[in-house]
Amino acid sequence: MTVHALWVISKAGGLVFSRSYSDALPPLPVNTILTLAGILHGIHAITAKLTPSPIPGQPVGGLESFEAEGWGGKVFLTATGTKFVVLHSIPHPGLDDLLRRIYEIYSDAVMKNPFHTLEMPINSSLFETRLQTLVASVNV
Amino acid sequence: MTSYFTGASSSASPASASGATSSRFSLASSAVSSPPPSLYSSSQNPSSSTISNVPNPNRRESNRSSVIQPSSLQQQLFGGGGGGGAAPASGGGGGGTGGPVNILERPLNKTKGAEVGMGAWSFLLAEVVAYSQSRVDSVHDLEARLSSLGYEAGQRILTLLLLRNTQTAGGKDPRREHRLIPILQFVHTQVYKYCFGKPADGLERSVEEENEYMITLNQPPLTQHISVPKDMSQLSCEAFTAGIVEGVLDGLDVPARVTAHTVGTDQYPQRTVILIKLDQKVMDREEALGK
Amino acid sequence: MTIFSLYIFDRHCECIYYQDWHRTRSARPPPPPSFKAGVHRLPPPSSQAQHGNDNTTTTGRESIFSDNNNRSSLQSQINGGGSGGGMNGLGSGVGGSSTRGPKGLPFDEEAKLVYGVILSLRNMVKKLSGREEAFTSYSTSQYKLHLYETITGYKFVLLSDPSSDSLRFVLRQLYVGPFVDYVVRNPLVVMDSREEGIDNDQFRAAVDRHMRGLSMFGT
Repeated sequence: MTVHALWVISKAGGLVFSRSYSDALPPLPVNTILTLAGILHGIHAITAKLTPSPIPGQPVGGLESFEAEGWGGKVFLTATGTKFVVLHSIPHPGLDDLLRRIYEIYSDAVMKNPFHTLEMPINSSLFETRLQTLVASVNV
Repeated sequence: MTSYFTGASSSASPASASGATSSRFSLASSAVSSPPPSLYSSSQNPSSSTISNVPNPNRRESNRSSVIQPSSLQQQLFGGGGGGGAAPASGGGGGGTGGPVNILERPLNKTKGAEVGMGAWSFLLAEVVAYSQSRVDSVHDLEARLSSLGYEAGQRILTLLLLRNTQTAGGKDPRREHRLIPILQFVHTQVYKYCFGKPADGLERSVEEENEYMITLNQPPLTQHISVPKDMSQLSCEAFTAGIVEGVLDGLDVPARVTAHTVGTDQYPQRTVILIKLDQKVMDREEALGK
Repeated sequence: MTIFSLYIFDRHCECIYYQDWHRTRSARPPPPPSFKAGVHRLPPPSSQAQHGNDNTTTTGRESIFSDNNNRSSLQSQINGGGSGGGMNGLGSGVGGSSTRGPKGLPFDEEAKLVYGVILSLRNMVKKLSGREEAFTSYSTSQYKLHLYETITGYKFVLLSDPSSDSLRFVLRQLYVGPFVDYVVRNPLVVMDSREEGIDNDQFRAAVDRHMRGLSMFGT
């Protein structure tokens, strides 16, 4: 599996972090990614509404993953509304585990950092280095 | 994630009164052998688990307990009397039901299971730093603030450690260090082990200055999740640890100026050096005591 | 494995065909002003039945309500009862219609949303990859959407349960099979009309047959 990129979208739909980890996908200007993250946030809400057969007692969730030719994206929604979006190659063994570890790093390096302001762009070198290490251990 | 900021420090850091009295209190409860029951209201007697935990309730301590302030103070603080109106409601009357012991009633020399979760500590420290930051103008002031908080903690930690040493020594007064090197080793080993779960990674004397010593910690657990923004690159939140060290040293009558510096290496980007600049008075005393 | 519904969109972003199988939250019939003939066979809101009837007569094809459920007495009365016979067990008459209790979105809105999601996601994927490619599927915790796009701009959309593998081959089979046979080669179907859908009995029956033949059709 190769991780192409990671986004973090705040619960209000704003992009607070994005980093590219491979050159399989072309680099995009930050503004474009910002727009795309907003679109994804919207899609997430609509897809939940389209559920054709809600199973009683189960929460109706939105978009969790999408696939294109040779690559895909996975959306991990935390209980507090933050979304982690990983763009990855297919097949993707261990992707769920990777997302959990990203979440763990996020809670450690971002949420426990007194210099981070909620809903604001993540500006933590610790977060970046830890992610870098994690992704490097996954990317082949 | 393995290290813990061990627990009793949490009983040391609340307001001074509770820190002091809680230690006195549990010393007392540990000493409750039969003779002076009058000092202790009935609410404490039920906590039999506390009492029975103590391996050697010896005479000496019960003697000391008679020195303790009138019980009314304790009753005020911890709720007295059978009714236990103000009694530690949160604790749920530990002894009587055999349930978990109230944090304030826990025997002080019991360290096992008294660790504080790293996560809880990290969030607390993050708030402490954020709060302090909103009240200072410069990086230097922020460090001073953190340091002063650490100083308070350090003083209590020292008292607690000495107390525990007393108890593990079976009630005999433990050796009180007065020479510089043993004192520094005490900080390096015991204080660090108590605070961070393991001794510091290095203790060395500065090459240039006779009165400068350095304690290094490769991966400081307290601030491991803190990432200092670029415009404050001078800041090291380990100033808190520096404050602890300063507090401990001061309590041992070794006044010093202690500062923290992040000196990252490739392997340990967060390696932190606690720089101890000893007061001239200490150096003179060392001189006088002879090598 | 379950299959929920099938949508076909033309190149003008219009939904031209709809069929569902195992939905528990079904689409509501659209209000008369936004009703489009020849797309779906949802029963019209009974109070508005008159309008629905008007529309069906203008299509010149067999009433699209021919198989609607007979519990609506007003309905069967208007449609003349007899025309319903041939379509039993087809289309929306299966499963979903009988449990049509909890209301979903009106059909026209739902179709717009589906198309909107597809379009946005397609554009996003295109931007991200820098190539002319569309996404093939997306999934949520409760369903999975498969997309197959023909060169002529028709978009076949299938909703299934989330655990299924890619079903694009099914959509392709529908395209080269029933769609070509009963829509493209059917002179009575106006393609690209923008006014009405492509629904006809034979197509609907063929699609239904095809889906039921699949191992993942579900129960």
